[in-house]
Amino acid sequence: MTGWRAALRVARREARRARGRSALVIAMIALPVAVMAFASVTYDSFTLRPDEEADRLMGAGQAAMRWPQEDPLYQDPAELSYISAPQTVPTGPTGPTAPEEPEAAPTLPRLLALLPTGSRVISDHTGRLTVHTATGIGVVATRTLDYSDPLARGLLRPVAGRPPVAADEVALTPAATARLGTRLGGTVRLADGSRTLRVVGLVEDPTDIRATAIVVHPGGLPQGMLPVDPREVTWLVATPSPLTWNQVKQLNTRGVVAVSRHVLAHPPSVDERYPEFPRDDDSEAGILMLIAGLAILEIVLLAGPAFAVSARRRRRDLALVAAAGGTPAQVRRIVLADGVVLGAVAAAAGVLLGVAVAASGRLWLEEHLTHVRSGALRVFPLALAVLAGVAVVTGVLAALVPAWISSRQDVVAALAGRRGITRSRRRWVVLGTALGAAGAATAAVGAWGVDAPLVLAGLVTAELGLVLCTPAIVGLVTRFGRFLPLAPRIALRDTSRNRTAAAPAISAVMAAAMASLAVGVVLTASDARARADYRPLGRAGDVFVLATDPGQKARPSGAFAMPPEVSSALRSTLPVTQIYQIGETTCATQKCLVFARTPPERRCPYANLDQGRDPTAAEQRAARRDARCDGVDIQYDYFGGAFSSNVGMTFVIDPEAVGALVDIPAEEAAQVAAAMRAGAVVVDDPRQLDNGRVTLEVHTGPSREEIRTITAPGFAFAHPPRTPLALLSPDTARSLGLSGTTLVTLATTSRVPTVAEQDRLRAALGNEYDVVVERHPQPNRASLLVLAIVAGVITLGAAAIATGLAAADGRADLATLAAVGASPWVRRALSLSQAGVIAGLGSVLGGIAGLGASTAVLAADNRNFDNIWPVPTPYPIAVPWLNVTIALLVVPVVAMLGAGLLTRSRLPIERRL
Amino acid sequence: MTVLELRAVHRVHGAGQTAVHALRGVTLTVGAGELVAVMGPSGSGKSTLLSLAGGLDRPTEGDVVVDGTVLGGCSRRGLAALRRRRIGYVFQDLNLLSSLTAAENVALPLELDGMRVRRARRLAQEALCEVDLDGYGPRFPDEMSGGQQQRVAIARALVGQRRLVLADEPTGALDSQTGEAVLRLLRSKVDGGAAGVLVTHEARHAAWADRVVFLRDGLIVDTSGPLDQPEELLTTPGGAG
Amino acid sequence: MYGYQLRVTFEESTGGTWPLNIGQVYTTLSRLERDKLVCPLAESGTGQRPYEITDAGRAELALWFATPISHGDRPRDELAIKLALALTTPGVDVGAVVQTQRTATVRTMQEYTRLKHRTDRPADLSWRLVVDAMVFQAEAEVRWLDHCEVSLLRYGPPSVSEKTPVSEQEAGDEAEREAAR
Repeated sequence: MTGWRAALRVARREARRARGRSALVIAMIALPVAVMAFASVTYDSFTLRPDEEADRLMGAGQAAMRWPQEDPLYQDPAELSYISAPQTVPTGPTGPTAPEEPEAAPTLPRLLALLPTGSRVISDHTGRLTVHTATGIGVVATRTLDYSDPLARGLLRPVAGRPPVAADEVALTPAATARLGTRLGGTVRLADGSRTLRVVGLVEDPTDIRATAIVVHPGGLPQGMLPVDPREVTWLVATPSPLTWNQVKQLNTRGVVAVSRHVLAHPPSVDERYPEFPRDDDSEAGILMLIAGLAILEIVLLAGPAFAVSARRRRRDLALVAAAGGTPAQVRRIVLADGVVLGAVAAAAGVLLGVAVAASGRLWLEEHLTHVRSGALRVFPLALAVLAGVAVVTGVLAALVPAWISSRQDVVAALAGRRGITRSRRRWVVLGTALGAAGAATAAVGAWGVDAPLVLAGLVTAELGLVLCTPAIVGLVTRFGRFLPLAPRIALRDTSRNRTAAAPAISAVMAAAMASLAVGVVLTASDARARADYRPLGRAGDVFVLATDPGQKARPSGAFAMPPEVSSALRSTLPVTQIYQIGETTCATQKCLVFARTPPERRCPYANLDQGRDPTAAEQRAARRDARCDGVDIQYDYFGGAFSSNVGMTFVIDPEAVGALVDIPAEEAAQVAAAMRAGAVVVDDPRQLDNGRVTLEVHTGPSREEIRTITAPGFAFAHPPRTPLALLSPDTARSLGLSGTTLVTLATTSRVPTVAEQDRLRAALGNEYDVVVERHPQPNRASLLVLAIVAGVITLGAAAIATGLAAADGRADLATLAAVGASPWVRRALSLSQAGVIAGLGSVLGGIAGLGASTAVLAADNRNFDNIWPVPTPYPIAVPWLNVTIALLVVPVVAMLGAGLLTRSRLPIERRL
Repeated sequence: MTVLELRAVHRVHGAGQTAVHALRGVTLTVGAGELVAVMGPSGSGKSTLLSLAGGLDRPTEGDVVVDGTVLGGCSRRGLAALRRRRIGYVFQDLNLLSSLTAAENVALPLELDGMRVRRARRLAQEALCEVDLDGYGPRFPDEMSGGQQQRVAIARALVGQRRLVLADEPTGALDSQTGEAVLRLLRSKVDGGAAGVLVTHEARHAAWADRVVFLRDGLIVDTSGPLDQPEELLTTPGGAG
Repeated sequence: MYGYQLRVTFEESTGGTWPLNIGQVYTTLSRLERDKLVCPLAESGTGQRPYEITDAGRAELALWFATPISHGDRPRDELAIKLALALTTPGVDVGAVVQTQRTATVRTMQEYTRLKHRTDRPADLSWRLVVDAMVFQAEAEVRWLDHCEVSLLRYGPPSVSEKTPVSEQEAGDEAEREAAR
């Protein structure tokens, strides 16, 4: 202990004496600690306590309920989500209610009857209103809730004004005022012009700050204007005593879903839960731990070089301690004490900074990032304690390697001022390679088994292995530097000869680049996959106008015509090129569904199995091998997602419209149109043709259970459309006893219309129509950019630190250079090269590792899909060029330029005797 | 022919009460083929004088002229160029860049001056031969003895067209035999036509110079020149006892 | 070896720093013969008498090499006495005396060094050692003068430096560092 006290004293003095270096080390540990402290405080503040969660769901009540059905159901204890229970067991206690008429609507008295006496219930209902917006007409969500009721306290936060009480009064969310172009004291006009509502209050939904909503007083608007489906109403319930999970289960038997404050605070055990709603597994915690581990590794890597240089600068001191009879343990202790002292200071500084930023930045975060109000400001003392511990441990860890080296140093060499060369030891390289291989294997196994924690663990192991190999890699690279110009040659040699300092910095850059690029590849692949999954029938920019109630617009006997107001509105608001009317095939006399049928022998035997069951693993494997099953049983979207089907839709269209509806070459469109004019039914899949004829299945009856078939001449696309479909001309339909109902008005455009244009069209059309615009899925550019920036900052930091340290270390060299007549530029060039070596080498190594690792993981994932049917879209191996460019080019160049510009080019006038 | 000239040079560090007068009016001329030793106790301004002569520092007053160039009129860039073309430095230690080989260290000023790497290396090899270090070119400073390092430093100081060698205690860390070898080398280089300034506090080393200048409190207090016929000394015992 | 040969050999090996006259050589030889340290051999044809060292002579020589030279044996140091007198005599600038002596001594050293450098007789080790002895003796004198100067500064006129330099090198480092600030 006395040894430690002396060591700590030396460390404290040293820290105070070498202020610049100490500040650097402290900053390097404190900054990541601050980031993590910020994250944990923010996480804790934004993770709602059960009570806070309850307040947002049920106000001041004991429970929030919905009554979606009369039959028993299973629910998640913490959510208003449910599935129906199998309808086979009419159990005893529920017997008396069973005979009631099944379609009885949930009413307040009926609900109260199920609840303990003395309960009070108010309703909270969401709906939609079509109103005049700032740019036209739009549909805005409404909430019918008396938020002035004490029971509702906590659901909405009043911002200004007062709650609406009269029928023509409403409150708006801030986002709604912007959307509607009004303000407190202003008005909201319904699109049909029937009413003008006064805005008397502003409220905020704490669960979604950006929500656009009109809050209406219950009973304020008549049922016709704002229909209320009693099955969709959320009931806020105040019971005299807390509602237990057993009581909730009791309510479930009557078709009521309930989230109870008591249940939120005391979650039921696994046995008590419905097995259909298992508890979330804890893999998330594992991943968080691994990410924290990675972060710590990064801190150690960043702080390591500083300690290494500190130890080197103090080599002579330490050698003197050794010469004065200090044991290696004592020498080690002095450097370790450095780590303890600086780590402790860094911990305090980092935690304070993190908490301060989290506290002051909470509002900003709520408004600009999470859009959710946090709970109370909570500092997460446990996490902060752990972080502080981590900081100290990091300090010690970062000091460990230099301490170990300095305790083994050659005293004579150190006293003579000779710099020892730390050779990369073969066993480290062997260990590093082994770790790298093991990590890669683990990650691959993890990817195979879709086990994210295992993947991450493998990656971390591999990264550690790479870190161990870095010195050897640096040594290898140096060999190629013989004929480089002076500055890079010196930088490369310095890097190689000061591996204890350079290797961790390179590793830090490498880890950052690797993580950034690995995640970047996965994100890019997901984006690419989403794009691959996006199968529009037509082209981006197509506009679809749908009647909100197609039934009203149905024109009998196939004479579907374009409503003139639609085409004029389209032409006046959008860059329209052509407009066509698309009809859905139905029977001439009654409602029916029409599908093109695949001949039985060509049908996929594994689709549409009995009882709607999913195919077994063996059947899935068989299905994959079965050519008949290609592309079968996938849910396809039509008209920008307005409709979807897994069997294909049958349209009645004018033959001229084929080229507009389907994205095919013009010649083929002409062929198809000719076939349609000739009376053929056009199908996407040649498998549906049987001797040149197509069989159509016509489903009629209330549940479409009556099936008859019609055959007609058929024709198949040469370039099949991306979604399955069958087309027939109005004449063909008529001749087959079928007809078309107006489904969609299709307008092709010369460019993708903007959202504002879409709003204008909607305003022009009024609330009887919906407008959908075919848009490509938006790539996840923001997260890629954030990733690249974070990695870039780490890279820059590491490069700056390493360069600074190298410069400090090489001050004598610089003095010599000055004496020999190096111009000020040479010093800049040297700094520039040093930063370049660190940042460049780290980025390139990390880039290779990151791209390799993520590609391996994706490939393993894709291999994993091999046995699944319906076939999931594989992840394309896509390179995130943005991130690659930033990581491999922009950041190193910026690091170099920064080092070059920030280096004081004035040569030091070092005096010696 | 005068290579280095200091004209009434003053150098004051700091200002006001804490001002330290390192040099106050030093005038010194060093010609080609002449080695001048500067002696004096610690703090007498020896190193300041050398820094000024090498353009590493600027005088507060007075002029420093190297090879006809007044250093006061040079930019930092110009001074750097002058250093790599005209002036060679030899320090007590830390003379060489540890990350460069001996040959690369010698070639350094030439390379800095823009000479092709290959040619600079060849000249460096020749310079190393002249200081009896042929074959040491690919060695790193760590792998050489102190005396060998100093010889590399001298080779570097005189590689190319250098006219002025400034040596600051070049034998400080060496034993007397090795030190003497270094000085002998310096001496013969100067005899070959260069001008040299040797700062030292040891008379034995200063004795290698043609002229010894005694510096005290920033002033030259005395100068000793050699006798014309050295042999005479031996015939008249007494001087040194 | 006969007298003249002895003289030439002696002068060669002492680098001519200790000239002898031939009479002195013969006197010494006869004194050695008296003490039975050498014995004369038969006279040669040219009338020169070579001498040979006896066993007693060898023993005496060994003893001489083995015995250190004590300070008492050397002549009184005129310089030390001069400085001591200068200190006690009013109106004498002791610093100037020191500097004058130092310049002179250094000049002497320069001469020796030049001799050593210019005379290309590297093989003649004994000659070089004798020259070195004189260089080192001169250096000792310069260092002693340096010491006198420091003592004068400290105990004589008002001192400039308050600090007691631990070692010259260290004090120098410090002074230079301070100067650099």
